[in-house]
Amino acid sequence: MKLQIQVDEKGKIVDARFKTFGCGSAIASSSLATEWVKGKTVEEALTIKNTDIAKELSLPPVKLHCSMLAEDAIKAALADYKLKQEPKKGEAEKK
Amino acid sequence: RALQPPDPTRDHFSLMDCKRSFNVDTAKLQHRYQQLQRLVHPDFFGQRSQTEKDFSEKHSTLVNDAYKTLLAPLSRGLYLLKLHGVEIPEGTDYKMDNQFLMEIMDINEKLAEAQSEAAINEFESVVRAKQEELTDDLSRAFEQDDFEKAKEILTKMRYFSNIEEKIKLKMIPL
Repeated sequence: MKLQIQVDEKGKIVDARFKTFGCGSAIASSSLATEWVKGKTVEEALTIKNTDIAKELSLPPVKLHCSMLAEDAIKAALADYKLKQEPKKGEAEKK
Repeated sequence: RALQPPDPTRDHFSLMDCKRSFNVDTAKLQHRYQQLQRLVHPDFFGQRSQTEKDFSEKHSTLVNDAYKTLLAPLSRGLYLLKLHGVEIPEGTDYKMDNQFLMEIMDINEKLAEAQSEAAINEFESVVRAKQEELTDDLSRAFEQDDFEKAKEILTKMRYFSNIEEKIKLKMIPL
């Protein structure tokens, strides 16, 4: 699951894209996450929970981890954004 | 003598006359498969009672399942783990290491873009090499009864098995 976000100078997510290889639930979860982060501020996007995603998609119990991955992807994207906002002291290599 | 129903307590290794181990002689396995089907296949029970016909079908299906399961390293490994009481539930690949996941993501992305037959063939070679490497690792893990390691390797093999399927689909001419 890959999630890309574009954030403007005011801290609002103006665009988001996803690319997911996997089951339908994983694709749907990341697709929904992409839709939900658009238009939200970075702080607002942090409040998106996997349980909300799972509920919206009516994910079966066996696929709940897909929504968890989507939440993780959002958080990782936002963390990466914040990291890039920091003044360049010594650039840490991100994996 | 009438055909009896299959023994449900017998595992695939026992049925296919193989030692319960990851290392299987596939030539011997195939030989045993053919030998068994000659005994139980429904085609040979055309003249028998309905009961025997039903048993024959059950036997034949069981033999097919056992053969198919033991033939491929992935299914064989998963089955062997199961016999040891270890299962891999959905969602545990969540703990896969990042480097591996990025590698898979990379292959998936490039494969999706690949157009030429040459490019797709190259993927096939790369994937096959990875699978062979993992199979060797898996063999060693089972030798050491390291089931945690086996779980990890089998999870990786699943990813490559999925990619293998995608490659096969891509190779079907439109």
